[in-house]
Amino acid sequence: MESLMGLLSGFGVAMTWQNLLYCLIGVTVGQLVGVLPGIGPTTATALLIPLTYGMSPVSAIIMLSGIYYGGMYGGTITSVLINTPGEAASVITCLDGHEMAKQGRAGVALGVAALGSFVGGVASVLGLALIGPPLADFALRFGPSEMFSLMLFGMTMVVGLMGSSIVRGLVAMFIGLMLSVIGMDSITGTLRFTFGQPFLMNGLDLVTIAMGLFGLSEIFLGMENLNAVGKPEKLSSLWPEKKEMKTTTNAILRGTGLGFFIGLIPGTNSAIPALLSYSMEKKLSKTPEKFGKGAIEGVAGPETANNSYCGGAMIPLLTLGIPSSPTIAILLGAFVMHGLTPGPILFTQNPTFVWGVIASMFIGNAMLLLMNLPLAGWWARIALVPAKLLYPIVLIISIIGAYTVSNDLWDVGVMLVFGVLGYIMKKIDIPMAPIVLTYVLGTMMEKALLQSVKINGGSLIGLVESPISLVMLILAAIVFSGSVYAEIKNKKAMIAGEID
Amino acid sequence: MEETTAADQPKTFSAWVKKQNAGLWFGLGYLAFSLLFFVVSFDLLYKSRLIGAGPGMYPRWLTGLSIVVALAYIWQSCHGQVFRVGECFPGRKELTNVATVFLSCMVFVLLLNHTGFIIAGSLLLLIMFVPHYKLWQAVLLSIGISLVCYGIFKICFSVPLP
Repeated sequence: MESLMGLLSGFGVAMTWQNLLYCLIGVTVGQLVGVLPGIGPTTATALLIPLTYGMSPVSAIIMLSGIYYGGMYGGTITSVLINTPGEAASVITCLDGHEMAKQGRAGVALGVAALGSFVGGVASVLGLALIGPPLADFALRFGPSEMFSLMLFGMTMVVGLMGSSIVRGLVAMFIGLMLSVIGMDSITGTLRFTFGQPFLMNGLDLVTIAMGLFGLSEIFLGMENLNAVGKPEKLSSLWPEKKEMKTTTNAILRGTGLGFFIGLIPGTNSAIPALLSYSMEKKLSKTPEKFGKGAIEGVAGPETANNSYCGGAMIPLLTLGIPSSPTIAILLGAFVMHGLTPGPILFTQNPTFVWGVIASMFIGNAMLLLMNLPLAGWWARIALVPAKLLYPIVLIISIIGAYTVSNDLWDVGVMLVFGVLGYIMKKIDIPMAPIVLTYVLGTMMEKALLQSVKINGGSLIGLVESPISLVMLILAAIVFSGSVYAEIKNKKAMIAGEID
Repeated sequence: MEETTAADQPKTFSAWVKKQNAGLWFGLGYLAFSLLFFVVSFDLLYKSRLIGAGPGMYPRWLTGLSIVVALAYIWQSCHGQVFRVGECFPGRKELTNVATVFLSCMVFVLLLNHTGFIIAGSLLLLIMFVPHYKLWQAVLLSIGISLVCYGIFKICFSVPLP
């Protein structure tokens, strides 16, 4: 009942004309970056953060989260029509989506994907509204020891699930953690690793790191090969045949549950539920031989799962203050920039904000459904903008975005350095998402650890005395050991290879 | 490590570079980075009277563990999946395209505070457009896009572009 009242008041906030406009801008930008290869939701969110300085926190987060879930819708269109995924979560959709398009069923693939995305998106936001408040209440019991162990668990998930090798995941994780200690120590105020440079006193900016790693490196990669993409397939009817209704509905329902559940786990990304949903649908299908040749469940399941994931992934952020993906980490940065502390007290201290953002996600999903069903063909044409024109434009916008962080060329330089680093890391198969996630978590983890040590009189005993903390540490150890075992057995490379 | 015979020895610098193990070089760079931070962490107090742990405790353990990870990565790069520079990086033409992006960014950084955004931005775009468009098209596109960006960001979003 409390959630329902909160949600109703949230609609009051989200339905003001300014917030509706920001929501529309957010989902449109998200859809656009989902369609365009080379610029993903992470870069777009990072790019727009500096432009939200003058906005109210609720409007800013409504717009930025719109980019996040909007990106999932956009990626589908190009996967189906031109066999070019706009973002990682839609890679799997190419397998059957484009096959359907080649059979003259592009409209059906897009219709099912849009509907599934809408159902997954709305159901997961509903889950967020229902689970968020009780989870936040529970999280109020978390002290520094529990928070440290929870973040450590999240970190092991990041390393365990991303990339094809645990050692390469650890490399990325430690790079992020070491970068996080640069600047002023939040507890004692001591300057660390600044090498006498005033620019480093406040540490490196998350936005510039993310824009370099995800945006600029993608431009470098894109500029290697400027071949134009193919023409989009023509659209036909948007609805599946009667005999396909049952399988489609079941795939959508399974995708919703799976995506939402995976979203709750810190350290996952949207490609994982999409891949798992595809595997699950193939295993459950009576005609698994159709997969890869235009199976409708191969589109409905993964597309629903990656959208459902978005709502689920907001739960660790809003209730625990822990980011579960690079885009969510950027969103966390936006929260901090607007003076908000994500975590359990957010629901009690800023209910208007939280419920306003949650309500806007319902509205945003409805906007995206309307944008996608009738306008899919039009969106696909945007992807045909030649790369030789697109990449320079993205580059100059990224540079302006980095410059606006502190109106200084220092941030542009930092972005360039991380762009080169990201490019090299992509070439030698080191995952980049752990860098951004651990960069954010690193500062919070150190603070929690030092607070725990202080509370326990200079000892680490608090980490194992608390049952919640102990459970988290055991889970972290299991995940880490499991990842090492899987790597030894060479299974991890296979899974990651499928995701890649 | 793979054994090489005299016949396999690279004859030019370019061939030598292509045969290099990219993972190993990255690992060495990462190891140097970790070692530097580890050494610097000794300048920070390990213990603090106020809270028990000093500002150097966490970084020292972190960088120490990072050195272990760097060594494990170097070992894996040599004995596991080897990424040869010639295999994982593209050819000369594609790398020139990538270098063009980097060069144009450097030109922008060097010029921005002296010439302002429109000229620096136009030059950045011009460098990237010239190989793919006719000169007059490249000039028009560069100036046009810079002016549009300047208008949007400076006027609409009040970004203080020089």
